[in-house]
Amino acid sequence: MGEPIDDFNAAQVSVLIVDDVPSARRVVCRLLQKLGVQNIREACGGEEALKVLDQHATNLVICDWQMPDMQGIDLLSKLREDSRFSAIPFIMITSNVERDNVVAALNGGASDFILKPFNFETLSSKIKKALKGAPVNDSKN
Amino acid sequence: MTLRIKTLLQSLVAICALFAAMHLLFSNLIIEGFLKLEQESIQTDITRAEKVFQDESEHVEQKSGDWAQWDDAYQFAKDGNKAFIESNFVGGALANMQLEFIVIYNAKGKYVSGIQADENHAHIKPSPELIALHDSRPELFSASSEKPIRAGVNFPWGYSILVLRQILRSDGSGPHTGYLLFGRIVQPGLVSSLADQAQLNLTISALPAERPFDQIDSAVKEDLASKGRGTRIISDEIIEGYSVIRDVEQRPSLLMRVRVPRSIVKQGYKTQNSVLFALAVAGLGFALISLLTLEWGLLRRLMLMTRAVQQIAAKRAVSERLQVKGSDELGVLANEINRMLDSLEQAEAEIRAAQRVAEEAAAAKSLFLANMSHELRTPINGIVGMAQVMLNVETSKPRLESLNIIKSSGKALLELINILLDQAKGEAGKLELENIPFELRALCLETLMPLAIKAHEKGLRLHLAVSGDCPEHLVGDPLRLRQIFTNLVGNAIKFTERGAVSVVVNCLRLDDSTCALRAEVVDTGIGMKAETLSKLFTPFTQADSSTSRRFGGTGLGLSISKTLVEMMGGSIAVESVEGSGTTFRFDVSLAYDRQRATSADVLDIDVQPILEQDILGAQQMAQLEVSAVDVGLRVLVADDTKINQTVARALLEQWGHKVTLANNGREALSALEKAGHFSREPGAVDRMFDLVLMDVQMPELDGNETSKIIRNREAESSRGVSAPHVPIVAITAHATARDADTFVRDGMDACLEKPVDHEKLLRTLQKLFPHLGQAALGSVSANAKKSIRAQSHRAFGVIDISELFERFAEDEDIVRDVLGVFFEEVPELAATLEAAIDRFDAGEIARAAHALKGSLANISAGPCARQCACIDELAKLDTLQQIQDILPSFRKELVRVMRIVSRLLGRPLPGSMAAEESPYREGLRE
Repeated sequence: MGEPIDDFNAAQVSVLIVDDVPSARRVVCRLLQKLGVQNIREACGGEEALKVLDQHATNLVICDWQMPDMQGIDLLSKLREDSRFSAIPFIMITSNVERDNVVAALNGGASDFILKPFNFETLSSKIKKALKGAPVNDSKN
Repeated sequence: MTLRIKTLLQSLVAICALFAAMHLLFSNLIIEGFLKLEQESIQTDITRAEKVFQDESEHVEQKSGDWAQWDDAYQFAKDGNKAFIESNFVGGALANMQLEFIVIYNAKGKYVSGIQADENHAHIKPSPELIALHDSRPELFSASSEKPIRAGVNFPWGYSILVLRQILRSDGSGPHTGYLLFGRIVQPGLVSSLADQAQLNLTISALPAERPFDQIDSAVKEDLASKGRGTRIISDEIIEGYSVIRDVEQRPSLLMRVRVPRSIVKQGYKTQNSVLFALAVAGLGFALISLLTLEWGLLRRLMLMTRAVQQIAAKRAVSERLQVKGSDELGVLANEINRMLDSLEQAEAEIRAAQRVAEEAAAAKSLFLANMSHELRTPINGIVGMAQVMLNVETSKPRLESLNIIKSSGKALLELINILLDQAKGEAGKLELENIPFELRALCLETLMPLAIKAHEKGLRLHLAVSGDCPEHLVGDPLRLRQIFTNLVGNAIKFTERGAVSVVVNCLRLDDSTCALRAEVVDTGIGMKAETLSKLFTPFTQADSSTSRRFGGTGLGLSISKTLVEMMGGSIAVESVEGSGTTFRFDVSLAYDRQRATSADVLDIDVQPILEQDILGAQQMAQLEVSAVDVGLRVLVADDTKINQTVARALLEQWGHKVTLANNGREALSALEKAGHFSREPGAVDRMFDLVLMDVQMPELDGNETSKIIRNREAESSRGVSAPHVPIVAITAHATARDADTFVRDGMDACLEKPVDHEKLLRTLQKLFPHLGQAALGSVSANAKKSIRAQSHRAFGVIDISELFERFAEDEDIVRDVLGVFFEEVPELAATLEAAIDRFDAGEIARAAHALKGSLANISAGPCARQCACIDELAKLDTLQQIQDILPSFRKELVRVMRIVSRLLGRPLPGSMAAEESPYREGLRE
């Protein structure tokens, strides 16, 4: 089940996880590790995420939709505004309830969303897609 | 033998020698002299006898002179007239003149007339020999022409003394007309007369004509023959002298014998004896005097000195000195002895000083040991305790491994320190044995169980057999016995590659109060050479130099075991065959509880390695199912050491208890005051502490003092009603029986020995709060990790375990990890939610509920997540009242989720949820 990301060397990929709930972060982290990703950073909110991005080169951001201080969508906007980070692939974690809003919000930007609770396969394929570089607006899950 | 007797004997010997010498000398000198004297005397006597004899002849001659010059006789010689005969040859004439015959011859020698006496002294005619004398001996007549001649002549009648002379006129004119013969016969009468004259015992005997000396004793023969004299000692009393009388022809005719008593010689002997006696007496006297002098001058002083020295030696009184009298050798000796006593005294003082120094050093060493013991154990306890605390909450496998290494290293270090300290204490004679009751079989089993794991790993059988005659309830030092067993069995396992290690315990002897036990540890291991056996129990040596490299170890275990066994009044021995195996055997004497000595079981089992997790896992599950109340106790920990505080707090909080710290006695008292212990407020019960852990060694106000004060104040505030007695546990570095008494006296309920580990603490808590289950007080092992998947049935209806695994790619590690993070974050999230609800802040409530919901959804806790979502919705709709309605059931569900996760992870519920003021408390109560 855990195939390394093809086309990319998982060891070289650097991922940032943004979520205020620790267990949520842990889930993504462990699954990423299972994919062979070693370079994983966590941020518990938007502000912290920006700081991390500032200091470390990042290939992918996985972010929760609903966070207390800065919503996921806000973080995404900020990233798109910043030339440094605009090209970084972005995956939003969201529940089915918000789905429509999320889809809308994701227009523009190499972004995707993933419904929670998600499983390993789903996450795995979403990440591959995101890292392949093609912006996807795939409503299929 | 004393000198006195020696000198006495020597003197006696000297005297005897002197005596003997003198004897020899005197018998030579004195007796010789006396013998000589005797000889002279006897010679004189002989001479005297001879003289007397001669005198007799002279006498006869003299008498003859009267008749020879007599006219009458002159005339008679011519004519032989009768008138002459009638007037002169009258009866009795011979007797008067003391003659035996008178004969007159004429000028021609012809017999004229004469008389001779017979035996009766009557006159008879002279014998024919006399008559014909001129014929037989004409020489006599011719010789007597001028002068008278004297001659001894042997006649038939015997030897006779003759005097023959010419008869002349009265005026002496001649010519002679005839011859006159006077004669005396030597016969007894004459002899006795001679004897009288000589005053001697004189006898005369005739000698035979032929070979006259033949009959004579050979001793004298020669002398007689040559000198005409001789002497002979007849006996001690008599000496005889002899003289030979010859006749006119010089033929020996008569032997004259004088018999003289040997008074001279006798006198000589007497003298000799007297002299010798005098000598002896003198000698003895001399010896006595010299002995006395010696005694007085020497021996007495010597003896006094000897006695004095003996007394000093017996009493070892090196401070006494001898009296020095005189400047001779004895005085010098006394002086020298005194000098030696001086140096002895000094040496003794030096030794005493050195002893004091050594004692002080030993005392310092003991103190050092005691302190070091405490100093070393405390930080290690911190290491081990903290590692344990972290182990209890850690889930990450690599981190668990690291923590286990830290913990076991710490424990190994502690054990090493204990071994070293035991060895040092053993050497300093400071090891002490406890005297507490324990159960034999239980002890053996407990000791062997951890070792069974190692045995099992090596594929060895570990067998335990305790015979039925060993009493079960013994009194002794179970800790040390455990130590000995662990050492021996551990060694056996270490050095055995295959086969079995057997522990066999038998009772050798049983009397009223003690039993002699024999324990044998038999293995089928590599064995040891004979030379190795002899070195075994010496400290710091191992079987051989390669042993420590191959097998590790300090080499002290056996030395300590030996010391311990011997302190228990026993002995330890070993037998081994290289390549076959080894048997260690030790005997000890232990007291046993006769009252409880029912017949005990025969124990004969293979000790199985029972993993802690299995026991405790099962126990835990059972307990949790029965569902004890997860009650958190309020504990006051009073300890001045930060490490100990931290360890105690960590342990207790892990177990869901609430801990308050106090740094010393004063702070403890004020904490108790604040919690209302001494106030008797009705509501105080809720605040009061359930338990006080009191470190005994605190500065200023120590544990005992504080405890006393607490009890006093409890008594004061009770006012006749039963006082709330807060259980106090003493935490002490040394738990001796004596200390235990002081704890009880000062009002403490239990005591724990440092370092405090969670097993000891849990056991104490169980003892003090027996109505609470083990799970309520604390889970003993946090590492009881049963597979989560295997327990999925427990979570049914609360957490969808299979979905969980599905989402996390069937990776139990990830599942566990996420559950762990969930478990940690929920209390805070829940608290935030509760706080928001308290503040009636809808927005906050929504956000908090959303977060909590997400968390719950993450671990597939569907029902709870849905309830949380409800709250979220309601908050968004601002219908807070409805939130209040569903809140209790939500809380219950949340608690349910937490409990399950707690079980799955084998971790205790967070204290904050179990705390008194927590709203989840209610949920827990069900």
